[in-house]
Amino acid sequence: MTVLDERPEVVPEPPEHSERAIGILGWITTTDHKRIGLAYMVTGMVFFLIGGAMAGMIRVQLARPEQDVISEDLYNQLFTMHGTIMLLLFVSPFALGLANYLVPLQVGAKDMAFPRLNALGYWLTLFAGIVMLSGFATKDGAAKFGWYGYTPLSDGVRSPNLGGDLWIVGIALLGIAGVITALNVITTVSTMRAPGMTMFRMPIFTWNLFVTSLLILMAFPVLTAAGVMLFVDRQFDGRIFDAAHGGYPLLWQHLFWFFGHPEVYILVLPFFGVFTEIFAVFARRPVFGYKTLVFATLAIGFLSVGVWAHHMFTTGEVLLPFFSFMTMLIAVPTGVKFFNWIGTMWGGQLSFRPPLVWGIGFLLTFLLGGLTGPMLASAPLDFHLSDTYFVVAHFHYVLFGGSVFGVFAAAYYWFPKFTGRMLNERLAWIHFALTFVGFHLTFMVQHVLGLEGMPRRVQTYTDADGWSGLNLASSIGSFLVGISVLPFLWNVWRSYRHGPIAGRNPWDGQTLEWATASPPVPENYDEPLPPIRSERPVWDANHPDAKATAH
Amino acid sequence: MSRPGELAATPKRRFHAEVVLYTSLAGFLVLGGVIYGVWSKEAAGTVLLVLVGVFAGIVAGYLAFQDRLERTTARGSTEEAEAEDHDQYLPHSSIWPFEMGVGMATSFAGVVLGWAIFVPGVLILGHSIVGWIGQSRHRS
Repeated sequence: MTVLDERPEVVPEPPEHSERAIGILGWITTTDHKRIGLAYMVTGMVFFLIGGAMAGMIRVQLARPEQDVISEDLYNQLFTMHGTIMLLLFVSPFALGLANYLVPLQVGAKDMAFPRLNALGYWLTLFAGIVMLSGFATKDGAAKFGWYGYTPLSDGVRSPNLGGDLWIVGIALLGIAGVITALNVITTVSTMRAPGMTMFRMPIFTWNLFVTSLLILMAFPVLTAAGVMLFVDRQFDGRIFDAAHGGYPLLWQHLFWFFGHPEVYILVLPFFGVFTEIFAVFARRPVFGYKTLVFATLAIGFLSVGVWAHHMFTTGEVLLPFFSFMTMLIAVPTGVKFFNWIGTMWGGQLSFRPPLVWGIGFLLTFLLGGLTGPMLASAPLDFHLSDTYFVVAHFHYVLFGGSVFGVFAAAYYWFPKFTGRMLNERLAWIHFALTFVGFHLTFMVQHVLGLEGMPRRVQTYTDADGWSGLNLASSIGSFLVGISVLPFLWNVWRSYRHGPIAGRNPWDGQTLEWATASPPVPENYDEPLPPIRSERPVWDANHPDAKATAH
Repeated sequence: MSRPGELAATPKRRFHAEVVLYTSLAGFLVLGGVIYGVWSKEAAGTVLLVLVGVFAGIVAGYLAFQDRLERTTARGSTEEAEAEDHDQYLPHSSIWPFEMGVGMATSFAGVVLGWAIFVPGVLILGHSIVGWIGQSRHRS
């Protein structure tokens, strides 16, 4: 510690690499956005494996009727923590990791605006995950009131276990971490763009992360505040949500979903950005309708704060026409994006490398999830389908088809930039095929289960219910998804050491991150940036003869 | 740092796009909040929408004010401002974010887990704040 106390005599210039600590201490003390980004992504993948294992246990329990492989109590903990981990500790951190690594590179900056705050955001995320998971080590287990913690179930009387409190502590820490990182991204985008990089020349990925960060700033403080209120109720007899003493239990649902619905877009918008980059690069074309895409993203961002109560239709306490209309409306800009993506690929020279393959898988899968969205937005249908497996199928199509496909597409696309080596494409195809088939087998049948009335979150069912065959199919699919991760992990492990050298720009990329070494040097750019005169400066520099394309 | 001709492409009002963006966000949220409030008579959502709208308005106002300052005072001194931008202070490494993370996690969890964890957590958090500020103050 004393050594570190003496550190402050840092001379701001010139940057001295020898000052950086090496090894594990180097990672603990790093303020380099690239290292923090990688740390986020690796942490996110570890949580993905943990959350995936929980999903596997859930599917084992549901594979056959009237099984008791997993007790009811543990089952409740598993689905609660599966949801929490996948949303808040896997997809969000992975997206923020991509933001950390790529936003400064794409706008031509040396680092994020607040490097140390950036590191704090990462550590808070990691520790929040550890605190939440530590619930499993307590006597009564982890939180078990569902990932959206509805009151009165989550109050101190009905869920008195310590795991519930640790869950709230984790939520508060994650809320702070998210706000810190979002502020960092917004400030970086607004103040640290290279000369010539106007807002409307930024890559779509950066635009999407900017809008995502705005949404985080609007949504996460509400979650943290709601968490604190619930905590006060549980620990200090606050009675904010306690109907017996003049409290209002539905307030929790309003606050939670005011966070929760923008959160869905926080999880998926970054990956819309990923796919936009991928479609353009692998079709060797500029993004079709750049400005339309930006405005569609902004429209999604704006509208997403006005749809929260479509999660609460069946409470009978919300304004159905308002939320039904707004929810239908938000499908429009998403449709615009589909149009743009297809337009980007249309007539392009498509090369079916792994990132594009994942991108096309995403288009097919996410479309199905998108279509069930307006179905659920229609109140009469929602009254029938709410809290059934139809909803489970819907949001897995959206979040697995949108976000998890995006995670893997981003991994295949930017791995060469992160490590300087290419991933093996044969393994990538095996990974994709297993995931795609396994995913659709798991969740397609759940639409039918939901229509037949199978409620979500039940620990078991009887053979007389008639759900046995489809549940078995779903479980088999989920094991395929589980197995599919193995070729990916092996690929990353193997290619990190022995993969072919990637070079600066293996995909003929268009944006500034491809204008530097792979992996980038600590100051990001080892030579002057190419002139920025469009939204794809690297392409312009590499193809001076190409016809100028304006958006 | 910039090449001739490039700076000309940068709009004079630096945050113009952001000001438009935050202003429209604020307008949308406040208007939406009022419509929602009158129609539904539900308090929580109305307060949230209007409040978030007001916050977006504050950001828009702040950025517009910065633009104004830059236009009225920074004329002629652009190059100095540029140089300052490029010499920004980037600490190469710092232990304080990690320690503050440990401190916040243990002190928050300590509220639930008891004094034995809460007190050390607060001490670690305090120590990290002192260290962090110290590092910032000695930067130049």
